[in-house]
Amino acid sequence: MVRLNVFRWAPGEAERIRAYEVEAVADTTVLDALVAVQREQDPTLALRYACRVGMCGSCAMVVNGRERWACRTRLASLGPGPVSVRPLYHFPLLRDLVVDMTPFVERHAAVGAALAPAAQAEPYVVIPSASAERAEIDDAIECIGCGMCLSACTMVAHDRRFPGPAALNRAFTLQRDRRDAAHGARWAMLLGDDALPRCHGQGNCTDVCPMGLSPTRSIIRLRQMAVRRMVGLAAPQAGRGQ
Amino acid sequence: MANQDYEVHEHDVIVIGAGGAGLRAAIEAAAQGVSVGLVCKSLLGKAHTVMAEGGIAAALGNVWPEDNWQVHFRDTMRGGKMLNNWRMAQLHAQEAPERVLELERWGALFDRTKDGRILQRDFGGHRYARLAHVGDRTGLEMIRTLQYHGIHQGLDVYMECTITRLLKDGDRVVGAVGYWRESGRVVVFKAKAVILATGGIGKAWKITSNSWEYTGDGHSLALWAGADLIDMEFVQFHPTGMVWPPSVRGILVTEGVRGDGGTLKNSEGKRFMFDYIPEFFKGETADNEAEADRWYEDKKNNRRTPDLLPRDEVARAINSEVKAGRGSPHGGVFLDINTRRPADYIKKRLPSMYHQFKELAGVDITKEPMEVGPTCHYVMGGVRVDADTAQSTVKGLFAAGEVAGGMHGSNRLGGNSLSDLLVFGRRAGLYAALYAKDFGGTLVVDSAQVEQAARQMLAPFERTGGENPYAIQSDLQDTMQALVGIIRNEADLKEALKRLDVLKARAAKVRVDGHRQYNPGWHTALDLDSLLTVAECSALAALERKESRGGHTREDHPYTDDTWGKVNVVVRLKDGRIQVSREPLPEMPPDLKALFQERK
Repeated sequence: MVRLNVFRWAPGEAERIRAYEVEAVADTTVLDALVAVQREQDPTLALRYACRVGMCGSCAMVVNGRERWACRTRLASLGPGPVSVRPLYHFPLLRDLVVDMTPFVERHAAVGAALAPAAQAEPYVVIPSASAERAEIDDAIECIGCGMCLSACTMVAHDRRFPGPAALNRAFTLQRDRRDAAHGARWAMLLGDDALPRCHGQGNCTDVCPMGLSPTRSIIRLRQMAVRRMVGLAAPQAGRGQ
Repeated sequence: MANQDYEVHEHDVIVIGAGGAGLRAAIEAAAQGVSVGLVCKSLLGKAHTVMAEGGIAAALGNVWPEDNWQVHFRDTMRGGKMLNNWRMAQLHAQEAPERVLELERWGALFDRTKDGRILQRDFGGHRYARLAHVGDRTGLEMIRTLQYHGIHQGLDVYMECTITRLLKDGDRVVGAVGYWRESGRVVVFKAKAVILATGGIGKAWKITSNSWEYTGDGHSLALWAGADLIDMEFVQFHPTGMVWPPSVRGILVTEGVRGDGGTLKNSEGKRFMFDYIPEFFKGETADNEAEADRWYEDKKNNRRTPDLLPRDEVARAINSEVKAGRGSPHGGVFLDINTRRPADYIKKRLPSMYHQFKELAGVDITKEPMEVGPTCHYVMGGVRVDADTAQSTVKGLFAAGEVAGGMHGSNRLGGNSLSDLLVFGRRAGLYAALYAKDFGGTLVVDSAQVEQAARQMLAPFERTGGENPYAIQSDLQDTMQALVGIIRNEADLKEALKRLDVLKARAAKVRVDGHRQYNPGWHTALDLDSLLTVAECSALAALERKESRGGHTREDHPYTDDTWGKVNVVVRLKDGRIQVSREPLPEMPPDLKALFQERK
C-alpha cells in the first residue's frame, strides 16, 4: 500500500490535502494510483490524462515537489514514504489537479508559434537531414505541450509577459527555420524587455522537461543569433559542439 | 430548467473533434471564408492523433519511383479485402501526396532521404515503402503543424467541451448541444453544418491502444440524428500492443518496429508468421526465412517478410500461437529488433518505443525482445458518407476520419489513417463550407431539444440509488473483450447483446456524486450512453455478417464468402431501436477493376 497526499480544491471550497491508501505493485505509476482512487474511492477527484504513455502531455503535475508526468512516473522510483501530488504552479487552478492551460497557449501565440511561409517561397523548401539547421531544430522540436517548464520557471511567476521556456523554445525552432518569413517581427518581440533578457539561465525548465529538451539551450542560441544579427554576421553556425 | 439561459454560439460550420481530421476540416472550412467553431473534449493538441507513430501513407514515390496512386489504391483495397468504398480509396490514394507536401509548407519537418526528399518507410500491406514520417512521432508533428496553422488562421476553439446531442430542424442538422467539462454548464452551438471528427470506439474494449476520448461519441451522435452507420463489425485489433506491465496493457507498439526490421517469434524462438501466410498474399510474401532476411537489404529481388502482412492476419496469428501454448510469459509473443539492428539505429528510428519500454516495462529493446499481443486499435466502420463530399445520409451532417466508414473496408492498412484524416478532413471542411453557403432559410434551434438534452445530462445528479459509473464502464469493457473480440461466434455475440441490455438498464440508473465542476465521475457517466450504443452496433453487425473477413473473424463461419463481399452491413435507428440491414456496395468502374487483373 502506498499513501498519496493529494491536493484538493474546488471553487468556493477551502484547499486541503486528502490522504488515500492505494494498492501498488512494482510498476504502478502515479497515474495508475490516481485513477484507482477515482474509480474506487472518490469519483470526483479531478485530473487530466489521455494517452497513458507519455505522448500527449496531459498529466503533468507536481509530485513530491517536482514537475513530473504522472503516466511515466513509477511510484517505486519515488522512494519510500507518502507521495504528495499537487497541480502545476503558475497556472490558474480549475479544480484539484486540473489547471487552466490558457497561459501556455497565450504565451505561444505571443511569440508567433505558427510557421509563416514566405509568400514567394519555393513551394517545397528542403532542409537537408545532415544540416546543422535541421539537427538543431530536431533537438528542440519534440515539445508535447505539458506545461511543466512553465511551472518550474521562476521568471514566469515574476513577469506575466515573459513568454517562458516552451514558447521561447518554439520561437527558436522557427527562427532557425529558413522557410519561415516572420523572423523580423519575432526578433522585435524576442529582444524586448520581457522576452529573452528575462531568462536568468537557472535551467529549471531543462531539469524538468520530460522529453529531454533544453529550452535553456534554445534561449542561449536565440541570444547568440540575435547578437550575430546585430553585428552583421550572417547565417548562424551550428550550436552543438561549440 | 425551462427558463435557463444557455450559453449559445453560432457559426456557419462547427467541427466536433480536434484531431487530424477535425483540424484539417476546420482549416479548410475557414479558408472558404465561413465562420468555423472547433469543439473538442480534450485540450487542443491532446487528441488521439498525437499518439500516431508510424507515418502517413502517400504514394510520393521518393524511395520507390515505381509507386503511384494506382498501386496505393490497389494495396488499400486488397488490405480491406475489397470491401472498401472504391471511390474513397481512389480519392485517398490520389490526394494523399499533396496533403503531405502541404503539411511541409505549413511547417512540418519529415525525415529525409539522402538527396533531401521526404523519406518513406515500409509498413504492412503496402507494396512499396510509402510512409512519410518523423521518427516514430509522426502524429505529434502533424497535430502541432495543423494546430499552429489553424490558430494562426483565427479558428474559434472551444476546448474541453463535450457534445452530447446534435440538434435538428426537420430533416437537417442545425447544431449541437453539450457541456463545458470545467464548469458543467450546458452550451449550445447553432450551425448550418456540423462535421463529426470524433475518432473511434476503442474504449468499449478492455485492452485497447486508444485514449480515454475514444468513446464512440460521433458514431452515436450520427446514429441518434438519423444517419446510417456501415461496417461496424470491423474492428481492428492491432497485432502489437504492450502486454506487460498490467497498467500499460494495450498501449501501442508501432508497426514501424517490424517495418524497420523487427520480427515476431514464439516461445520456441520460431518465426511463426511463415505458418500463417494466407493464399491471398502468397504471391508477394516470402515463404522462408532466408528470403525474408534478404528482403530487408534487397527489396527488388525478394518478397517481403510475412511479419508485415496486414494487421488482421498478424493479430490472428499471434492469437493462435498464444492459444497453442507458445506465447511469452505474460501472454503475448516476442517482437525482436535487437538481433537485426544496432542500438544506435533503434534509438534513432524508434525513440519513443525505446523510452516507452525502458521506463514502463524495464525492458531495453536494443538488448532484448519486447512482449506484444493484440490490442483494440481502430474501427473501420462508421458514418456512411458520400465519398466526394463526406456528407452523411443526414443533411448538414458531415464526417471525416475514423468516425467515417467505408474508406478502409474490412481492415485498415497502417499509415492509411493519417492520410485518411488529411484527405477527408479537407474534403469535409470544403463541402461543409459550400453547404453552409447555400443554406436556405433561417437557422432555427428548437429549445425543446436543447432542454431534453440538458435534462438527460443532469439526470445522474438527481438519482439517489444507482451505481458508480466506473463499475458499469468496466463491465462493458469486459463484455466486449470476452465476447466481441478478435474471434467471434454466434453464441458469444448473442450473449454479448443480452449483457448489453442489462448494462443499458444499469446505466439508466447511474448515480453521480458531487457537483458539476470538472467532475470526472459525471463525465464517465455521460460517456456510457455512446459507449453502449457503439458496443451494441458492433455486436449486432458482427452477428449479422456470417463470414470471416478482415477485422471480423467468425469461428462458426471461418471462410470469406463472395456473396458477403458485395454488401455492407448497415445499422440505423428505427422507432428508437437499432436496426440492421444488408445493402449492396457501390460498383467499381471497369478501369479500376482492371488494376486488380494486371498483376498479382
